[in-house]
Amino acid sequence: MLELADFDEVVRLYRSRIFRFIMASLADRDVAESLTQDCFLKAYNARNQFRGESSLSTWLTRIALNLVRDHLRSRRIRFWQKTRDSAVDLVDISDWVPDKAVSAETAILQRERVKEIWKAVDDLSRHQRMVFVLRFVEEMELSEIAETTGMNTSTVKSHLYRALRIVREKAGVSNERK
Amino acid sequence: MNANRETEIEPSGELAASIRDFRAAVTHVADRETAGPVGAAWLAGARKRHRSAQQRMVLGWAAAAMLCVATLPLATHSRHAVMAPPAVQNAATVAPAPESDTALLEQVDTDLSESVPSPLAPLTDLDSWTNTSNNASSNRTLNKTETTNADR
Repeated sequence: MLELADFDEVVRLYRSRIFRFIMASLADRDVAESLTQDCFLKAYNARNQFRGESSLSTWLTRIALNLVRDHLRSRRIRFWQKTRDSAVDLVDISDWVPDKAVSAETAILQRERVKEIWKAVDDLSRHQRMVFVLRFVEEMELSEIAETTGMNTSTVKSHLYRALRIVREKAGVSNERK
Repeated sequence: MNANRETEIEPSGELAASIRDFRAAVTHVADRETAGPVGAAWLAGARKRHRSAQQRMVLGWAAAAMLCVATLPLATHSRHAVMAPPAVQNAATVAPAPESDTALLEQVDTDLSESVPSPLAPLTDLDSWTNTSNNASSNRTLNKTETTNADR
């Protein structure tokens, strides 16, 4: 059971990770901040229910996942989602420097490629996006994804297969090495 | 096919590099956005949203309950209105029925003993004529049979 004193430490350790998961899922910084707060409030209110059967990280990710689902389900939000989709305005990554060793030209190209991947991820279906983000952003194992989402491992694999195919097609990148 | 799919869920080459860059960029933004310290009021916004969501839910249930209470009299009134006509119709069909067999027979006797209306009077004459002719022909047949038997 989590104690109040521990909870500040939990927030300090996992805030960035939960924010990253929500932002990668929704591509909206403001919503990510609100839902991160909601996630920790829910976790705090339900701290007596945490028995340590799964890791704290998995438990928090599951709460965040439910919040993202609720957010996507909301009709009012869906309206804004459509508006946002029409004018693709993803999170600003202009100050992200891929690798200090590469040339400026290569860095610009890498940034453009990241934007393409982000757009492609944003176009995925809800389940495909969840699985993709949990696998490649949160670097979870397939069994962990299955536990967090409540899906079978085979379903997770199926969503991941489709998600990768769509991302590859839409982002215009191949499996081949340069 | 399955082995092929196993390899398909692990990206390689340019795609793998792009996904790694995507992760690095998202992590960079997340670290930047959450770099500030978490104050005591950090969860205040979430608490406020939580409270207003609860209030909205309570108001929604209250509105639904009031709507139910308001429409209940209308529903019961319309149910009575719909059920009334069959009751009247049943009363109308049941009332003239005779109470017993004796009463029914008495009513039949009364009806038969009533005088025939004048437009139907020729039919009663015809009826008596038919009866008379039938009796005469049967008498004739009887006599003929008796004569035949006597001859034998």
